Amino acid sequence: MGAFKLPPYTTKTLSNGAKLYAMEYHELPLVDMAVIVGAGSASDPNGKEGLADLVADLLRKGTPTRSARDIADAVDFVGGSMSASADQDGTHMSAEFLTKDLEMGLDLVTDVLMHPAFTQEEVERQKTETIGELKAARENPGLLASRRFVEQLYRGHPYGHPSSGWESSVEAVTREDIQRFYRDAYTPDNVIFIAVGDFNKEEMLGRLEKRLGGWSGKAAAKKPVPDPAKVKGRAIYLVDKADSTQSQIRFGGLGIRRDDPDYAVLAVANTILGGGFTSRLVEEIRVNRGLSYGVSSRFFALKQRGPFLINTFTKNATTLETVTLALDVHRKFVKEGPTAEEVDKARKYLKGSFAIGHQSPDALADVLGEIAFYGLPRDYYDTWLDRIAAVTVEDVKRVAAKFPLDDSILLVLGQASAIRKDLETLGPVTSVPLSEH
Amino acid sequence: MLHPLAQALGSALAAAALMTQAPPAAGVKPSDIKLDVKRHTLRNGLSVLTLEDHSAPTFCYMTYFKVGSRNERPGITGISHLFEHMMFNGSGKFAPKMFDRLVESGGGYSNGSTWYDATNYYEEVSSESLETVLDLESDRMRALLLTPENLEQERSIVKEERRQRTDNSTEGKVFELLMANAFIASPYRWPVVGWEPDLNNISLDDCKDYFRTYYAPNNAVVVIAGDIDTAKTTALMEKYFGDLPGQTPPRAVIDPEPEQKGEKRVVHHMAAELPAIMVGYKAVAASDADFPALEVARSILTDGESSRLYRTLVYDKQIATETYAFFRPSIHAGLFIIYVQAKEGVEAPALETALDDVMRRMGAGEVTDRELQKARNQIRAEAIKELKDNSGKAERIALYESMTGDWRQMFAVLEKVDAVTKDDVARVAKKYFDANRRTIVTLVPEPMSEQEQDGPESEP
Repeated sequence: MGAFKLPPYTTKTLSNGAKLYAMEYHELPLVDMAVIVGAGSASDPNGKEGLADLVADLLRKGTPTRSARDIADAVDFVGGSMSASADQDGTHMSAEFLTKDLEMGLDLVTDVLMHPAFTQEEVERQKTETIGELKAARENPGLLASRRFVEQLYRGHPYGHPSSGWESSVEAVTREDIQRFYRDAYTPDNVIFIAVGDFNKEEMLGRLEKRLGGWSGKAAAKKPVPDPAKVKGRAIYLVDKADSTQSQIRFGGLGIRRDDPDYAVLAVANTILGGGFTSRLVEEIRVNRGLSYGVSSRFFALKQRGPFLINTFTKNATTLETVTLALDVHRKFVKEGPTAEEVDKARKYLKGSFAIGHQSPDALADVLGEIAFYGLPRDYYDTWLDRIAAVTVEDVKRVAAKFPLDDSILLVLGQASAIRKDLETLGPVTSVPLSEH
Repeated sequence: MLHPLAQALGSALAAAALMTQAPPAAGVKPSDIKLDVKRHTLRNGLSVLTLEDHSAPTFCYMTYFKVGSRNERPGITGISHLFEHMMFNGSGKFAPKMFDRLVESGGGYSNGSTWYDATNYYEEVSSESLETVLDLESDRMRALLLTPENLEQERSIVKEERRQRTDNSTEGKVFELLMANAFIASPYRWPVVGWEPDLNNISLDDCKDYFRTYYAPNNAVVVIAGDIDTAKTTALMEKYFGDLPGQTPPRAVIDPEPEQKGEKRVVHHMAAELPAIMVGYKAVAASDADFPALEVARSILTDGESSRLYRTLVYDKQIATETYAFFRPSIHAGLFIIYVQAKEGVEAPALETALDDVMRRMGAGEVTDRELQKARNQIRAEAIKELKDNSGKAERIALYESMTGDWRQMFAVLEKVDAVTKDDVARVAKKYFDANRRTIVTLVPEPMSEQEQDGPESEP
């Protein structure tokens, strides 16, 4: 077989603005749906952080004709699944059903999308549940460290809070906030509806049009998300978790937008630095010195510049050694660039991963969602492997040099009494509370 | 997503792999799913199963070794998992680091996982890398490099893994305590990742003995699924693995666990936010006739937002933040586990009272026809979803082939689940969800220490 290509798909924009995508997949009797609404946590009002995610959670908690119990019973009875959550740029609903339950599944998904009831009772219940989850998350050092890192990196910016919000801001959300957010954002012209599965794609467009065609409304004008402010210099933050025997380390800065023309080059560059299991970071920190069980680097590409993040953890005593090593590995990569052998290996790895990662209908729905939501060319992934194959050593060197991280944030979550003095050898250290912002 | 408990088991894939719960739904029969698997056994006893699927230019190569932490003994607990780490560090023809480099150059990745009953390894790569993988895999089965340097390096990494998943995780810690206290003689009583002093105590000779005994071809099952040609692949397997010698099979491990005749309670104090309980009922092995009915009970208790645990404890009573049941097939009798984490302001005894009521109702015959059918449908749908990609297919086939000797048991399990009645569910609930069979671990949160003040003057 030759290079892997995505299966063909068909699209249609309805007169109300809803964008429909359908792709066939016949390996198993499954249908996956992905709905993307063009408003996420970046649209949360100040003081109501977590609103977009609450709205997402509440969609399946009742419509005028179905209670929350009815919906859960219906989805579970056929062994289906349906969930929704917000990220910075949008809200994502996904559902999966067996093909024989396709009509019922479409009815359910479109009903909760177009007619959520947001009853006071369900709103209160969901707030309580979300606040409970936020409290429970205080026991998860890795998650806390990542959240505190993002808050410091995007201080004062719409990306500067976790999409789940904070306990106090979730508490402040009212039913009216939820209804207003829904009214402004959940309109057909702001919705992408994707179906991938064991069906005829033209017939699927007909089914979707039948259900969504009568939906009306226009999305409210949205305040554009500004370019995030540059970090100045190297800031070091310490989050104290006094009982901890392990430090969670996060280091990075501003990365890229999803429409960055160097996206493919960065995919290769990041594979070499910290993407795969033979990356420079893994070989130096894990393989050569056994300092950590895991280390990786990643660019989160968003509508505006997303974070670039190196992520690892180690025992208290080797915290400084691990931080210093990660900084050195990154600095050397930026300064010297990759070897030809590294670029060749990364290109092959990414080529193979593309085929491996797109075997299932849910993965195919995700990639269609990415094309649709970020406005990538229709044939973007038909030419992806060619773009990867064309990446050179010089390309990687040029692009890596754009992320020197002289201006960056280092955040460590761990036992302050054991690691503060060590970290202070790198520069002034600012304390950050464990929870809330 | 990985189940939290599977993470506690100390391995990347453990969960995805073993939360089996097979079976299909009304209208979709197991026989609707055709897996054209071919079996070929090498003279040295290595079982090779192949499944062609040419929809993407890639394949998965999966090895199951029939060894896990159940084969260990006190003093060297954790060696199975530590050994899994040692398998990536070089062999006769390949220097350290080359394994993963060649796999990534072959357009893919590798990983492995260890749990109580087995250890698996897999690569998912581009079709043209078949011989590279066979070369790497046969070489490490033939001549694994076991050096003091490799052992020290992986010992250190595994201790970090243990710190992450157990020592700094409330759920991981509570799970470890539950298994250690529920069992007094079963080999399931020690953690897969091992006790830390035991990790320090494992020697290079222990590793060499372990390799010789358990990593013989006759103790392994290999499944290759994806864009391959069966005849060509089988011939290549003969070429690369045919000359490996078989070994005397390892001595069978027995389950000496005596009957439990009374409740056990463990209280654990730890820096945490919320109280939680983990309850383990002594249950059965996967081969037991009661397993399918307990599997249905598990689904009714935990699958989806309409499940009894979620609906009662989170949705209706609003006393819990999180709850689930965990029960998976095992060679020896395992635990049927329930976890409940309190909402703020709720104490552990209130969780216990509410949970007792849920469990009692299961045994009192309150399960409805619709719940029973829902469980069958969910279990079947899950079984279909597990076959979405080559690694999922290879994993299912290897799991059932290595545990039961016949991969087709994955469908037989579904038929058994279909045959479970409401009376069966009530009967097993009454029998197994009995206070005398259970161990309860209560997590008592110690306040997180005071926030450190800014500035060096606050240093102790």
